[in-house]
Amino acid sequence: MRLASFDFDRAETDEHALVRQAQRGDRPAFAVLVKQYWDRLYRWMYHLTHNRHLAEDLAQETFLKAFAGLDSFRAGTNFRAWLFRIAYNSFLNQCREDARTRQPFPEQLPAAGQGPAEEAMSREAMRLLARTVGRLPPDYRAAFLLRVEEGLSFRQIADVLDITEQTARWRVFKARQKLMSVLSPQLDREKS
Amino acid sequence: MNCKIVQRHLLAAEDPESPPADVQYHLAVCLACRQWQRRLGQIARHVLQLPVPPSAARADLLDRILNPSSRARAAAPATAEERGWRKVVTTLRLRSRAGLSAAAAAAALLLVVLAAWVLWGRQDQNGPTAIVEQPVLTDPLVARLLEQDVRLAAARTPQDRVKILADLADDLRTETHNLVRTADVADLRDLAEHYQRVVLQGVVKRADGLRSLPARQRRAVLDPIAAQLARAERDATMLALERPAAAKPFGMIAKAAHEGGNQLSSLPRE
Repeated sequence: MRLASFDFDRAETDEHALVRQAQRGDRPAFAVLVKQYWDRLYRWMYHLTHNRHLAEDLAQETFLKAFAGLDSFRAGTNFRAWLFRIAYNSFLNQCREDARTRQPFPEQLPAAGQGPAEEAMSREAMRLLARTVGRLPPDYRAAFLLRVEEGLSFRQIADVLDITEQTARWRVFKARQKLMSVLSPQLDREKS
Repeated sequence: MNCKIVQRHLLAAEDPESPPADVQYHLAVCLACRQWQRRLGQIARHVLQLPVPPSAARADLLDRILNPSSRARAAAPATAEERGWRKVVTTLRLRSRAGLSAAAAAAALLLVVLAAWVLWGRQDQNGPTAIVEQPVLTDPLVARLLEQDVRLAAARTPQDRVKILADLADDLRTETHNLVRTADVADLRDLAEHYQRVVLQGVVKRADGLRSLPARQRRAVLDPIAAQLARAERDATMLALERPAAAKPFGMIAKAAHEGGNQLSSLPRE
């Protein structure tokens, strides 16, 4: 089947059904799941690694591992948590292999002034935000981004990172605390 | 409820925009905390705007999934090598907390073999023992430990064995440092205990067997190891100070390195 001819807008969009179909070997069904989760998973991996190619590799590896291991996924449980957990384990393995997780921060930043005036952050503040998020310890960063970007509950974060709910709450707390301590003075200066 | 407590509640809240009633009551009467809450939300919203470079890899992945014949690697069964050590380590990792205990467990397994060799077995065999062909390892720590194991088995002289054990200790120390941000304290402590054992029961014990060597040869072997232990002690002490949560494992490493260094320097110099 050629990619171009594949209809991603197929009627079957229910995730559980897609997973069940993929478990029976239905590759197009799994492709729909890839399409649904690629951007989010890749974004998370990029924020964890600061390396586009590494993030792509980890995201690809995650989906291939998930595809190969679909038999071990229990139908009816949270597919997203399972997928992100595979990704996080791949990321941890990668951390152990080398020290490539500390890459320069991207220079391409959104222009200042997006959104309501009161909400907008200057380019400098955005740069500081990117740098501060990037310098959070990886386990705090992972939990914080799952909360902010994925909107996962502490319980779901705990499932993904294989930690307790209390630890998930603590990691998000520490990440927020760090961001506030670094960003607040900058935002105060800009406001005054 | 004062401002400090309210702000801590907000930091710990699942949704700081919708805090519990008592926090909301404080926010209603405290302008500073309202502004603080708004800033917290502002930061979170701007995280969503952080740029991520575009990726073209999804199309490639989809092609691999949808056209398996053109990309035999998609979900291909593991190679024989991968099914070996990699499967053991990966499975253990997926099952273990944060995926780190398993590496330590695998390392521990190898260290049991090493310890048996170091402490009781193959004391002074001449010539290398038969070496079984090893599978490809993808876990760096386990791969390095196994490599050291093989080197130990092949080592011909007592001084070679001391050097290899010192390398092994340094691998364990480096691994502990590398994991300081991601591992549980229990995992770090496991690695520190292995380090302690390799230094005090391996390196030091074997070094004592070098007394019969001429002083110059002995110093050529032991001086670099003493310097390595001094560096290990200094680094571990600094990390113990910088990271109080991991003070115990790094304290163990510092202490073992200190004791090991002392015992090496107590050997006759001339």
